[in-house]
Amino acid sequence: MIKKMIMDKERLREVIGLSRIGLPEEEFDEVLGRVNAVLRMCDEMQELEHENVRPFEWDVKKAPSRRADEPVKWDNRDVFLDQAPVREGDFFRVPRIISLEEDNGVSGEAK
Amino acid sequence: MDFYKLSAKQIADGIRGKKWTAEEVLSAQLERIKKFDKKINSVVTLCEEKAHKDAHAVDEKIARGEDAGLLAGVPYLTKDNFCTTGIKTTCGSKMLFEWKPPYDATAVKLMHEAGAVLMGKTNMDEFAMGSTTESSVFAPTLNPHDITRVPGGSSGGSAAAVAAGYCPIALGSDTGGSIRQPAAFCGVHGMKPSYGQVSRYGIVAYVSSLDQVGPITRNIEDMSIAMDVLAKADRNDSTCDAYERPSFSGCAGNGEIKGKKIAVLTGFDKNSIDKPLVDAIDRTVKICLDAGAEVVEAQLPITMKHAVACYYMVALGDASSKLACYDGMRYGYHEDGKNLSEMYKKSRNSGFGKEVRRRILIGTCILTRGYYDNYYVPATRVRQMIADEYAELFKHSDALICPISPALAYKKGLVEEDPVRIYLGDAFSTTPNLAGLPGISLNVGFTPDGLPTNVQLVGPRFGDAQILSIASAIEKRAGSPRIAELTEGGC
Amino acid sequence: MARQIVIGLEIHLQLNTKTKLFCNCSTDYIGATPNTNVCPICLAVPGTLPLLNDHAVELAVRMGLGLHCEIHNNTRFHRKHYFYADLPKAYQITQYEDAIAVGGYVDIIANGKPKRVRLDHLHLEEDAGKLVHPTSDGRLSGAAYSLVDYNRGGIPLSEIVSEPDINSPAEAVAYVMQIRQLARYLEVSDGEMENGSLRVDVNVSLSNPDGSLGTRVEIKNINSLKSIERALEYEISRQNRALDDGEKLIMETRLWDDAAGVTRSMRSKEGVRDYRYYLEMDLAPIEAKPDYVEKIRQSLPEMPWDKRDRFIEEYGLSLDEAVQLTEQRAMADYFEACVAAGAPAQKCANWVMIEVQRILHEHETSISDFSVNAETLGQLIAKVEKRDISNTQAKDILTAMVEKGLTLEDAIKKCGASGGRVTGADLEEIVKRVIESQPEAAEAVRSGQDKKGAKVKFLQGLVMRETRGSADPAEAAAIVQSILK
Repeated sequence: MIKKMIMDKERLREVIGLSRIGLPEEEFDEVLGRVNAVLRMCDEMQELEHENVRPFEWDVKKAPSRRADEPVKWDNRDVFLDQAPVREGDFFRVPRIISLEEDNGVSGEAK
Repeated sequence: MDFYKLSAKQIADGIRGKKWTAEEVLSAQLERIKKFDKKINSVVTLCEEKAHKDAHAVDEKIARGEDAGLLAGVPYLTKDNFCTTGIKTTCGSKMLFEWKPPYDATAVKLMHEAGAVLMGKTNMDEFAMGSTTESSVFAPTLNPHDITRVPGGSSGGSAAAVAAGYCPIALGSDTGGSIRQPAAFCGVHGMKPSYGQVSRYGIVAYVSSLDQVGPITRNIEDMSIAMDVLAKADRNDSTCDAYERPSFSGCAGNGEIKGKKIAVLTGFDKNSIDKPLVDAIDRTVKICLDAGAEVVEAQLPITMKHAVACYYMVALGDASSKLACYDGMRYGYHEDGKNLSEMYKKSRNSGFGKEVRRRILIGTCILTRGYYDNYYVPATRVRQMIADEYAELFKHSDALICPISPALAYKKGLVEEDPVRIYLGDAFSTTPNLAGLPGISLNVGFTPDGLPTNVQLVGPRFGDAQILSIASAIEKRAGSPRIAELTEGGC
Repeated sequence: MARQIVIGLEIHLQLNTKTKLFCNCSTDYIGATPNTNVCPICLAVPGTLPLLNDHAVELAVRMGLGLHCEIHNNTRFHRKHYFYADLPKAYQITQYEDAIAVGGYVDIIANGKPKRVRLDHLHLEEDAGKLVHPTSDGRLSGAAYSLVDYNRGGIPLSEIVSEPDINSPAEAVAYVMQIRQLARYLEVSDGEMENGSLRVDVNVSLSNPDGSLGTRVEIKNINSLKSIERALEYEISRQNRALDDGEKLIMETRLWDDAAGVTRSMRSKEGVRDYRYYLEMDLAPIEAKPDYVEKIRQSLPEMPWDKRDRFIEEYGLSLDEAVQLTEQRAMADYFEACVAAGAPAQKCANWVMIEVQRILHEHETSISDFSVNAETLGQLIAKVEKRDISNTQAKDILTAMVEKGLTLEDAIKKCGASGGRVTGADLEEIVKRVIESQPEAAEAVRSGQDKKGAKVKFLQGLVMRETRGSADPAEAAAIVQSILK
């Protein structure tokens, strides 16, 4: 049973917000056309017998060992900060944060 | 001495044998670039001062009798998504137009340690999204063999540079054909190694599980030396395999295909492929047979049917994710906004080109709730099926011959509209990335009109040395690619 | 209407690693100059790749084992996408529905009653950076701009999610305290709410009369144990009032305002939080093979609850005493070493809980930095047991060791206690001195006015004080009387 999903303008509006990229209303149809074309191409994948196939994992020859817990100081920090577009002293500076739209409260700070 | 005609090995041998100096070679090549590149537009940044310094260091080492590395004094260029400390790395985008990375990609470091001399950065499709190098923020690169045509993409600049004789080796990155297809359009050899063969550290990411670094050359011997230099374990990349690599140049030199089993892909409509490219496959098959190999037909039904859909899911989703860090805060293009959201939006809208913005949106659509479960997740299982189907094929064969592109190099500005050809092109080029297999785009000749005809050799996972060896044997009989005949003058 | 209170907690623990979860930057960020513990990886510079910290995995497994979880041998990381200034990649690397440790439980005692709180899982994720808002109260609201410091970004966190088994604010506090104690015992985390190495988010709902689950509300910005209790009490009464008034509650996130003592709605649109979780392909699976896990299990110290029960059994201590002594591992170890040096358990317990604690508090040090080691204290207490010195003298000797850095022998000499009991002629000397210093009392005894013997007792007391308790009280009284006859 293939579940054919069709992307609509409402979800596209949401996606535009989620990706922090603008899209003028007159270009909605073009983008929806491309998205739905890809989805139609992918519908058929659902019908493949893959219930018993595991999700993709690399066939690795020799896994690298995990990183040791030893601190290293980065020596290019000053040069990097000098080039930052929004530097203020030792900080990066950002304009007013409207917390309610943006904050997902993950870090648990007082917002 | 026409240094531009020499291979990397010949240049390095000559330097080691004190027949000429790295400085001489470099100067000649820089001159060639300056002479022809106004027309070809392959190089976006030249780093002359650093190049002279590096060449000088190689010459000093040689004078002292020290080992100056496998590629001693060999000048090279790299795609503009390779991080190079203090040298602009734009990824063909306004977003990083002025950006100078604070570190070197591992590939760049390894080339430097091997004595190679970096001359500059090459043009590419913006953030590697494209197959013609026309979406770059810079003017498009032209195909050196026919300047009314594109060089392919996204590593078009690197492929064109090698075809134009700027350097014997250029580096590119391949996510869904971005080294192999431009190599085919420009009539040179291009290799995408197995996933995990070469470190990705310092390559500005497009798709985490598909990107690989690879060399573009005019002969297989140079390609295998480049692999010796680049294919190394790297602590900075957890996806780079830690196994002990064999000697690639050792294997390639052997060049024997007697007794090998070569599969040739069937099960697609040959009428959708440009005839010279079908002939190229036939020619290659004949070479293999004449050399004593056993050639069998093979099919990949699941792969050919579903790989393109699978690729779009994987690639678009990841692209939207990896491009989310560009927000104008810590680096890159920045535009003010009256609040944080607006700053993000303005920086990203102005910094990214139209195609990149589209793909970010489409990728985000794919990952959004509901669509992720019904489309992305099945794609990850199909990916394993594709890998399994290839693995089964390679149980009975040493290599697979198939096309790399259904079309000869396109005319400038022309958009391929035939959906079948678009589909086939994607199918041939993306499946080795999906399954993590090595693929070589091998030039086997030119049409009477002078357009390149390449074929693709795909190998089993980590069978890179194996296919280099087979490619070397084919090249012995098919001949090495020729350098484009360039004329001076502006565009 | 008595609705059932249903509480679940999410605890974030900063792990005690030296470097961040995915890069070699130091985790020592408190007090550091902003943006100095940073590198291309944790700043999300293009082309960088995350590198998993081996020690973080070990600590996560340790904590998981302490929580009685099942450790999964092969788990993955995922990306959680959202845009915010403290998140450079615009996605957090976390584990989504593929946690390294699953199930488990914690036994607590709240209001004297034992209870088992089941856990859903423990997973690994990275911390976000810190924002500084230039407003008078440091809060975001009203800030014209904000400053970002990425020192904290990338520090390893383990998130522990409980089942909604908790049914009162007191249980919630007891649960957090138990997690904190375990984390400290296992040296997995400092577990300090004040500096953010332990963070708590609370979920609370009130069940409907028919037993069905009520609407769940999440509360954030709780920064102390006390606040957990206050926030829950407030929210429970708010929900009760609302339901009594026939209002429909909405599933939302509210912020605890400690100053005002209320929770406030964030008024965010629920359902727009589409994090688009998917597999992080820049990282290999986290391997935690059975023999690796077993090795870690073998290296675990005694659990705090096991130690507590053993102290009751082995040393004959009461529950309260055992709880207090095992609160910190270092204190428990000190106590046991003290007993091993030859002092009786109950006396050691008293000394450690009262005298030692007092001195530590006065000098603002911890037991680990205490200048008198457990063996020495044990010897001192043993001497009191043998009646070589009195309890009072022992306290003086301890003080002398701490304040003057003397050895036990030197401190004993200094306090004049090496002579053992003061008796005979020595005692007479002291009695005479005391009598001379108290002419009124002496006269009262001499003149026979001390009918009830109160003055004798008074003088005897002074003599005992003079001898620091090392005289025989009866002998002292006798000498007083004989001199004043």
